[in-house]
Amino acid sequence: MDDQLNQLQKIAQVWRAGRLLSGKTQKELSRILGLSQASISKYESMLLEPSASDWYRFCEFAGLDAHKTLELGYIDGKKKFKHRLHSDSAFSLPMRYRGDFYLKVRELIPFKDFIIEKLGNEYWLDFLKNHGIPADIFLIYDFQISLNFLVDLRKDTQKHGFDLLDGALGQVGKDHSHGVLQYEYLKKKSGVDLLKAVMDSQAYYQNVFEIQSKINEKSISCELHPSLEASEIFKMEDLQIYMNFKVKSFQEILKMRNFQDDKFEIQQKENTIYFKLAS
Amino acid sequence: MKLTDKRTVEKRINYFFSQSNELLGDNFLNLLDEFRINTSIKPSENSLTSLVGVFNQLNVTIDNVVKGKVDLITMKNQFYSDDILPSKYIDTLPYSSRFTGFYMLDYIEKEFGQTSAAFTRQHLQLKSSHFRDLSQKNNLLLGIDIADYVLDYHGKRHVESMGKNSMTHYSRGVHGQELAKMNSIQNMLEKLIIDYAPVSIEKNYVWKIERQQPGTLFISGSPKEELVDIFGRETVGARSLEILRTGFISTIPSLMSGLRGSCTQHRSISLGDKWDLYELNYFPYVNNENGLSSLS
Repeated sequence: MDDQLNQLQKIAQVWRAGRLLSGKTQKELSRILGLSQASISKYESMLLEPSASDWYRFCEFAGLDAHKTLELGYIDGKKKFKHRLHSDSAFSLPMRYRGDFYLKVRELIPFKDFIIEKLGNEYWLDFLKNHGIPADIFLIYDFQISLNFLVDLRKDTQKHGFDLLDGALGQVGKDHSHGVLQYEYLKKKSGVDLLKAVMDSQAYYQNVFEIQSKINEKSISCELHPSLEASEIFKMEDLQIYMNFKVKSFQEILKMRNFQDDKFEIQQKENTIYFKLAS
Repeated sequence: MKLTDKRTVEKRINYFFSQSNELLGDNFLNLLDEFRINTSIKPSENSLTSLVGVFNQLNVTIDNVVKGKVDLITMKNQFYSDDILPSKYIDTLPYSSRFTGFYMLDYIEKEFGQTSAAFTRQHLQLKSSHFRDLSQKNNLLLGIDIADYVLDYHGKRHVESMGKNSMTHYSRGVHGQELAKMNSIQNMLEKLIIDYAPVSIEKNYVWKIERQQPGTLFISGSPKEELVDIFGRETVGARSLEILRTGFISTIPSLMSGLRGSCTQHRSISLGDKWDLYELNYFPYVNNENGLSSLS
């Protein structure tokens, strides 16, 4: 029964997120698919499971792989509406959370998981509602949201006596926090290879800071600094806090694969963080 | 965009069930029982989750069932053995290396994860066991189908990157290592395009250097005529393959240390030209003052 409910919930959430990503109202979509608006409303409220033909045609319209999307329960194929992943029209994000410098939903999953574990789903949904952020975006792994989201979330959770970033570190080390990227990390056989893969994947998490790396077989040296444009938009203090979190998160990812014995050195000079890993 | 008609979707699901029933007999009925398919109503009227459960067991997807792209004989054979590759990939001219498909799926796994790679395989009725022995051969349709799938669901950029990823793998092979040691970029490109490309990169394609000037190389090409006759121009001149090639060609200069490249396609068979034309530009890769190469 629980499985059935979970499945119904998964379908309902992805249907709604996919519809919103495509920029259609229930009414508009009902016309496109030749369904009643009531049916769509029931699909999105977990009152009814769509028929195979309705699901297939919906995915066809939204440019989604019908089989994969149903099984995964989140939106991965993003080609058709990729221009809307940061658009203000797809989900009407408040101005504070839009912009050219962003974190992707993939980056925020550890924070979401930690908050729900610590303060409950209700707190998470209330926070989103109070800040005008649709919960649906957290089903679209490549959706982009400004660093301000993390700044505000951290500030809000500080009222509860803990630091969100420290807490989320515990989630970063878990495989599932990385979504589809976890499998690449799992294949790496040395800390240096793993860290290199993590560095190479940063574009799938954020574009707030830049990384430069020097790699050889036995070591990887990196320097991390905020992009010039991001420095003009965000407070340096917030950027520093986030970058420090990221460097610690790299260490957590290494620990996840039992590479904690590798030598990881961190140094900070002004706004730049240098770190080195030697096997 | 015109959506598939609702009745067509239902008809194809029902057809798939009736054919599976005929081919698998009692085994199929057991499967229906396991996934609580109500046989007193049409298959398409059953719960979506139950239908997908059956599709998973048969290594097909709802997408290829509805598109009528399931190879039913392969489905039947795979039900009893993991090793059966869809016949369309081996029946005709199996000239291509299994490595090509392997590298493409490797890209999908790296970029979108193991689960995504597994869904891609299922979409094409492939299994991971098909890539255990990479000395096996298949025809060019395997690569085209994988590239088409990525183009459909992930977009052009990823098809290009998939081509780049293949070059990265190639660079680690014997030919890649040899090319890396050559004394000039011009010689390296000539060696690769004239000698290696037709034998170890894309045997189904006729490669030709049109002209060369400092920093630029124009490469033309077209599929071999015998393949055009067999598979049709539309298939062998698939847009996805051209994009894949663009990614692949752009990465050739990086075989040599300190060089990078970019590639632009000027003529395209899929867009109506008689041959493809690619312009490869290559240039030195400048390290910054700390000797760090930029990743961002």
